Amino acid sequence: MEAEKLPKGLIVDLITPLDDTGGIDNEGLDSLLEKVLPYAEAILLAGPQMGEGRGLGLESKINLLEKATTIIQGKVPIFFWMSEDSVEGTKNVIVRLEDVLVSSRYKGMFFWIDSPLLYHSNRGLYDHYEDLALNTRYPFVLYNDPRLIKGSKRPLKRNNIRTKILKDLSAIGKIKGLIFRGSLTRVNNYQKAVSTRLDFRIYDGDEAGFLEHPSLSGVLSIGANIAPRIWSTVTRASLGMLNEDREERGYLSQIWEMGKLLKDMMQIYNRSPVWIIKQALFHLKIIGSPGCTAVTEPLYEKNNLLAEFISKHDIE
Amino acid sequence: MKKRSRLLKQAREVLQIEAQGILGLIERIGPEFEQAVEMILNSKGRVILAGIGKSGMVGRKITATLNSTGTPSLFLHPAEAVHGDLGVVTADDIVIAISNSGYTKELVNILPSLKSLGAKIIAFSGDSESPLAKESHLFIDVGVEREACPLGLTPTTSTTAALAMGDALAVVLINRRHFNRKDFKRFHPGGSLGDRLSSRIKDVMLTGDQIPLVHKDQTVEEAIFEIDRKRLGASLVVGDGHILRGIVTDGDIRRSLLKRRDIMGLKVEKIMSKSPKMIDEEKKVAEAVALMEHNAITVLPIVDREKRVRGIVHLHGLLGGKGFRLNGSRKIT
Repeated sequence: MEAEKLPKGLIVDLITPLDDTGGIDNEGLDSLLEKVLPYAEAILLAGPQMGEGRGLGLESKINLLEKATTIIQGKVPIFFWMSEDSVEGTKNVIVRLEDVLVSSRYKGMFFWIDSPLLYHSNRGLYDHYEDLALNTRYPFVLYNDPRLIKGSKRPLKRNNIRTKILKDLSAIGKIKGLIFRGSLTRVNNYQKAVSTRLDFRIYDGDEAGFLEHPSLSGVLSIGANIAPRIWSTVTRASLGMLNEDREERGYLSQIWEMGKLLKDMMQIYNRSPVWIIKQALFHLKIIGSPGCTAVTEPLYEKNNLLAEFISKHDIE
Repeated sequence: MKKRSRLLKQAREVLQIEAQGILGLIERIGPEFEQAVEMILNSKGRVILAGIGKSGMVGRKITATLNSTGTPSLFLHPAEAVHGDLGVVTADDIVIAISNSGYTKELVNILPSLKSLGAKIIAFSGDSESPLAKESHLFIDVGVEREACPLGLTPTTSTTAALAMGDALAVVLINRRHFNRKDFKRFHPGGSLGDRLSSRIKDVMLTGDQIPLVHKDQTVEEAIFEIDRKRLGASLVVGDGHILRGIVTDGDIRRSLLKRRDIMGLKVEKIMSKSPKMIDEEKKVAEAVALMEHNAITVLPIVDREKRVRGIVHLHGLLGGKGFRLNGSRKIT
């Protein structure tokens, strides 16, 4: 296992390619990873938004990880969303998936991504993570998304990890960072809360927010499934990771144009990102089926809009 | 109205992000900062700031702040450095290299040269793993979590943080050097004082009856009366044709009295300083001040080419005396 330092930059919130039977579309996964890997600093698998992690069964998650590790082969860190509806269910995911990593002797970097409020209240979270840390050799990244918690079945008083709790959690060395969705005020408070941990990264979990005020840790991107090169360029530019001279004529306008393109693209897929992006990837013959675990919105009449946009703008 | 409130909301967000950037430094600042202060205090050379683009602008501002607070400093443009400007760097100097990413090509490229010249390098960067941080003797973390500008097109929070860290360094150095009001005044000839220092001596000197003046054949007693009347603490001593022969000051009289009591009837030329410092009336006031400060004197005769007395200036008069106001604002008491 390599050092556990979190990467900086573009994390692709990868869609989970499914075949017509609902199983993992291995060829589709292969093609998609081939497309995004050169541009990603990390890949999120089975994420709650694009990876349909909430709808995937444990066996599908195991298959996904098995296949993904053979393709990724340590080229970039793997983030894997592990949360279930209960503590026991979540622990079971950790145990079963860790078996996959151990049996395949996977040497690449691996991080558990966890949305704890899906199955646990703020109270007692510190003890919970101390316990979880004993069950795995891999580090954690928290995923704070109030929309996800609001949409869950658990009636919780709070949809966000409390700032005070986060401060306590940041004392656990195995928790390396946080993917954040929410208000600017809250992320500023979070930032203050973890300020003693210089290695703690807070990624933007909201593409639009990142394009407006970029976090210098990076972004979890949906659109990178479609336009990884542009997303990578914009992210690297935002993080000052490009070698180009910022003062050079044309540099700013080029990045501005790319940013605008990404925003325009967001307008197309924002209403139902998984469905629309899968439709486009299917249309582009990158994945074998546009199947989803749950069709949230059919949008049959619009399902080629994104593909048309991609073709019109010659997006790779 | 909605548009206006949206604008204000955006502006507040920017201020919030930038404020957060600076607040974040409070936790990050550590022993390296103390080492940087000691390094600068123990250095016989100058503090040289270097950076490209907005970081360069920040470097220039830090240079100005350091200079005006008693730390000799200059700015080195990395692109010009490789075309000969590196010649300005000596082994005694300390270079503060600013780059948020720590990967700025032009800056990283000159690091080996700076090191071979013997200069010490302090990195102001947001990335401890960057080439700049690794190649430097000290790394000061000026990292921020978020830029305020859409797409990070232009550095905002990161440059604010670097600037604030520069201020922190300058202020700590002020305190460590026991930099005082007088020093500050010396480095801040702006405002009304600046105007005065840049004017010609002939425009501000005391002339005619205002000049304390005695003939070399007059007595010490007469000189004392003249000094007392004109209240400059000294009197010029002239020969025929108003040619300057010397100067007699309160100090000259005091020292003579300590040698012998009966000096009142002596000719003043017996106790005067025979080679007084003097200056031409066409020179700038700043030159007169520098001459007086260098020689620890408070009055300066103004003469023409034939050494005929044209006037006199007093240091306090040039600096504004009791009415002196720093940069035209606060009265110094």
